[in-house]
Amino acid sequence: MATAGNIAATLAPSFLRFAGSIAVEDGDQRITYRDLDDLSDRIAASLLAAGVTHGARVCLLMSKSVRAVASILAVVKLGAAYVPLDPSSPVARLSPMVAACSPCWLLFETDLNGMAGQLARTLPPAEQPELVDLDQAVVGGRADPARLLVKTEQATADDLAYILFTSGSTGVPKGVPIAHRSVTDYVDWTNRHFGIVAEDRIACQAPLHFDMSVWDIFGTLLAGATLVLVPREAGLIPESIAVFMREATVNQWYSVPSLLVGMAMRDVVRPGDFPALKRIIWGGEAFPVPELRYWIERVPHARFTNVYGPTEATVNCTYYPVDVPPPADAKSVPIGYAIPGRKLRVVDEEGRELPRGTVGELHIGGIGLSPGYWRDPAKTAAAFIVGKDGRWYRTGDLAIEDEAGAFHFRGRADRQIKSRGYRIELDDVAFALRGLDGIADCAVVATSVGGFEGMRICAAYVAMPGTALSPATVKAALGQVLPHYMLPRRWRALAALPINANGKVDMPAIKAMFTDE
Amino acid sequence: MNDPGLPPVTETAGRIAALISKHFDLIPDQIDGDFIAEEVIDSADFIELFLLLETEFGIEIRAEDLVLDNFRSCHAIAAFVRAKRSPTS
Repeated sequence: MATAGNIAATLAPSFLRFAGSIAVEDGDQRITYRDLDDLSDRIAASLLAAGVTHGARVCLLMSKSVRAVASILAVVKLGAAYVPLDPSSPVARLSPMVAACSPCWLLFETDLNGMAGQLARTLPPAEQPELVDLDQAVVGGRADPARLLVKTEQATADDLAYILFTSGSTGVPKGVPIAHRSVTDYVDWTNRHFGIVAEDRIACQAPLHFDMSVWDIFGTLLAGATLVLVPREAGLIPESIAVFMREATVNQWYSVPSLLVGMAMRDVVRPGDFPALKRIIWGGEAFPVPELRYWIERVPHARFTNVYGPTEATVNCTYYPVDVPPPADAKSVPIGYAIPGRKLRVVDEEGRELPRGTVGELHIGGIGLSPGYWRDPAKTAAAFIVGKDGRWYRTGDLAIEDEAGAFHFRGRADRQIKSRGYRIELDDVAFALRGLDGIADCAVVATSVGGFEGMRICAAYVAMPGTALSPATVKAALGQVLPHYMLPRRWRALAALPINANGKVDMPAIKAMFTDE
Repeated sequence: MNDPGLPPVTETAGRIAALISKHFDLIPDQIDGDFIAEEVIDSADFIELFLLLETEFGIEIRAEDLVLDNFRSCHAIAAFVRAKRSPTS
């Protein structure tokens, strides 16, 4: 069957079987499977009328909402790829992403009309997206079932489902496309492994431009369960998340660990709290052991699992069940074992596989790999290698395999960091900082602060002669080109950057300026 | 209405504005508005802010105090700090 492994075809039985059940809940708003299917059909019909075709790209400028989930479904039903854009990011950050997808469509939440127009105007006419207003798409979309069915049946498992953009070391975000087959395979295994059932209420904490939301959304819909959207504001303060988790009676929580660490640090979890919670899953970075032990002690009825995987390998490629609290003196918990169908190996600098117990670079192979960076053959060739034993993605992550076959993360050899789950190239930040008016030179480093933040981005800069630039002014200007999570959190204005004996910028000396806190 | 022995809210708010702008490197425009609606302060900043307020004002911020509206603006924070320091609280 041509549609096997295609997302819309895979989810179709759920929409029939669970038609009357609640599919998505957003505060007081609830939508059934039947109505979600209808809503996405209407949006799909409007997209079709606007010219979206099989294989096209539809950028989504919208916050997480019932309509956003319907929009994602509409795009995948048409065999097009969705490209989630973070509405909190500056237009200057989003515009190269839209340009990279050109020709493309931009489906925007009506409230973001101004931002959508601004985004289009930053691009030359040839690269401007076709704008589609979501309100109008919902109202004006008249689904012709026969026509939509034809489109859905054209969609295959090898079509791209989405393209996510990640920080790139040259200042240009990299597009990571993922095929339908990779999504359905991942979701199928994950749902079975975690035993997701139709009665489950699955929290959706991650924003749409974060690939954790891929499993939240499609995993929930495959199981006939209910997706419970976590409001952005609830994630800001630890107690707000606790209140949300209690009141929403969610059964599954999947997020970056920083939110859970913040809750532990402020001690907002009561003994035996969240009685409905069956599973706590985290990924994106390490969960510090003291805070993990706190959680296991306070919520002993939940099952804890660490997952790991770069965007290039479709959400996650490893898992590690934490069945007993890790010892207090443990430095971290393993990233664990390969998900069936995925392959892991640790290699040396020449790409030779290393024996267990040796640190090297982690390579990922098997099911789920991206076909390569979007329209970037050079970066694709550098990161995806093809050998006699198949295709592998070089993660750049250092890892070690222990005697039991579990893999452990051992940091990075380059300047990529993880901060609250966000993958950030420090050179991406430095590139943007150097481009600001009045900046003569700069250096961006990261210090390990543990706890909530994990890695903290810090910047030192030198202003142009005769220019007085306070850190606050520079940070505000940088906020016009980078999203908030990429902004350095500590600043130093210097007369000159320190230079080492080789005449290069002395990065360890700069790092030392920020490690005295 | 002021409790005896406590500075007025506006004075505390001014002190908080100075503290926050210095610690988080914010420009005056960012300090004057709604931190949450305008996305000036994120989740990591809030964790730091709680520690900062505890150290600066000698208060203990408990789980039940961690309500968004207590931290929405300098004025809201000042009112919260004042209530925590009030002998009747």
